[in-house]
Amino acid sequence: MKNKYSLFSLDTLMFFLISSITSSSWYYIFITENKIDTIFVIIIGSVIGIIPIFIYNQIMNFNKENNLIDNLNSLFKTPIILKIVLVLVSFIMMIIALQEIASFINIYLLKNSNTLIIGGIFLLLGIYTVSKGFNTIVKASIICFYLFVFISILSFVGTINLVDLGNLKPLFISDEKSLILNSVIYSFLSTAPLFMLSIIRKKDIEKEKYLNSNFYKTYISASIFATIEFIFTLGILGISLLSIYKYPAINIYKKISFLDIFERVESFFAVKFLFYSFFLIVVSLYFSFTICKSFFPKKKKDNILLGIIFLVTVFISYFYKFNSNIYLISFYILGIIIPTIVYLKMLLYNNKLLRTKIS
Amino acid sequence: MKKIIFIILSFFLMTGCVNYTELDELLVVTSIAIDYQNNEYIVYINTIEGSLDDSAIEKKYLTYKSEGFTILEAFNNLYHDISKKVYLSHLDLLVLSEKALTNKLDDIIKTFLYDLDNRSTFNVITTDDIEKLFSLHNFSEEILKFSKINPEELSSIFNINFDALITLTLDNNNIIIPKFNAVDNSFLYNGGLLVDKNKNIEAIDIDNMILYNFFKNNILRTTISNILVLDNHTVLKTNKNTINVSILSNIYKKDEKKYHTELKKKLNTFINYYYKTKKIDILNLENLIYKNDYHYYKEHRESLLDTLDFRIDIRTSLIDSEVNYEK
Repeated sequence: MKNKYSLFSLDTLMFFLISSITSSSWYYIFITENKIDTIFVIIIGSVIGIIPIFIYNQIMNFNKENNLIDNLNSLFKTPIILKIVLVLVSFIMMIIALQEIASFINIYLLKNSNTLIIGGIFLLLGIYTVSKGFNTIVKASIICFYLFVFISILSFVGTINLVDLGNLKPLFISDEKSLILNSVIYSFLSTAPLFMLSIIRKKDIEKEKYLNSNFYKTYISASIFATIEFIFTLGILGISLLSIYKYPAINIYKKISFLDIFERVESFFAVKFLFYSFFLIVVSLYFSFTICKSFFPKKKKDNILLGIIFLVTVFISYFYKFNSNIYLISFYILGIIIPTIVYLKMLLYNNKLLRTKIS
Repeated sequence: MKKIIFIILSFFLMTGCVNYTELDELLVVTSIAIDYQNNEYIVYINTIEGSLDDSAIEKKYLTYKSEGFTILEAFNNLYHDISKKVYLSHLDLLVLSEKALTNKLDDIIKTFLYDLDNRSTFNVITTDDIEKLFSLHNFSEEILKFSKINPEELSSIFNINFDALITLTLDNNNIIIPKFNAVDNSFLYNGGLLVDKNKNIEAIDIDNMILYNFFKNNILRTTISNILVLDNHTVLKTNKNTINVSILSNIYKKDEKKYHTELKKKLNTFINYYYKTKKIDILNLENLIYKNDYHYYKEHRESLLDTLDFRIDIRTSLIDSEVNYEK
């Protein structure tokens, strides 16, 4: 019998997917636009984010024997259009995340290496993980989560004495419109990757009845972590420095020194960002790969399909650099538009079913 | 078979080793100086090399100089003299001339941020004569030691690193940079050099630097009118245009009366000189009011400096001495 995914492993995966926003270029845009009020963008955005989480939960609850593909097949007459859109959008998300992490590695870790080669290797690792199945993805996420916790504790302990609370002022000075708009953007950027988890069947999860509450708990935990991390970063660097660095956390890690022995550790701490992007890439890959596979139900050509995905990704990455607006649009379609369409269709379907039963 | 293919593939994909550099191919830079004269940058780099001599490592310091119309060009011109790769990751000290500070600070910051591979935690100082300072053997190590010891013994220096310099520049604040000059075969600390928002400069003597550190809560141990201060804690709070300075110092019991009057007198003289006479916001109080009371700042930003009302409260925590020698 196929192994079931433990709830904790899914929690860790969800945590990485939610936190992946902090390594995106949009996080940097929030900081430059809203300055210190980015704290409120994160808090308000996290509260708004509960709405999409509710919708994703409902979609997963629709039929616990079904995954998203089965649900689309049963709800829509021609689900192929939605499936193609989903593949395209998740594929674009994956390429953007890949381009961003390749650029990050190029800036901070491998300065003289070609970003295409860095991205290619990262992608190969992702493809290998995907080829091993979802169980491998969640197991990898547990291992990485333990390392992540260790790194986070070390970084908090190593930098707590550098926090200057005076850097958290003045608050409430940014434009209200931009604050609200960015909060809404934050909400779907942080939640959209979670929709891709609907590609797994609820029945494949251990203690699946707790999944709904775990969704909320993990989301709230990740949001609290993001808020604390932002306050720490702001308190140490101040808003002026925070606004000029694309990855300000790295500049904080440069300051870490334990007894003048354990220092120059920023490269080790940078692993955190690799985790965020790696799981976003792997889950998007798995999502698009599973939907693509559903187009050829009888043929078992997984390796060929993964090979094609690899080549297409490298080809697109070489010729085209996606900007932050396309990133936003793909998250918007994946996290808001499609889930809303599916949810509304589900409600109509349930209503219809109820009416049929009554009559 | 799969494993073999994977291993063969991995040989070609180990990109981290492509740009591998041997340690002895690196020129480890400990300090950089930048001067700006006749529309040209003059860059000096001080490097350290270790050589094994009688089973002990001997440190060898070398200085290189180059010129260019941009800092990057000056750095590139360094390669006319040297065959090693300039490595800035161990940079400890940046020395800027007065001209570079007043005319080209933004360009210098930009170059270090964008083009040069460094850690931005190095200290920044200024000097009157870069060439003379760089002719001193091991000066950067000695200045760094001074910057560490001085706050613990006299607190007459206010150290500034590159990150702090960027923040002050971005916030359009006044900047105080420690000044060191070469005298005979040694260096001498000359107090601070204040570069204001309009890029005017003003020298601050050592006594005023100590008073500045009182306001900045940067005193670990110092002497005021021959009174030893063993520890100090200053809290600077603002309430609209009122600046409340609360000072709590650890001193010997015998100095209590004198300390209150002397310190208050000196602090008031300091404030009057910079805020009333020179009209310089040396403590960057405008920025503090901006942070603490944004709306008040917005309404009164034009006249803020003229209306500041300082209230200094000095308290002491008395230490009993183990001797009582009174003639």
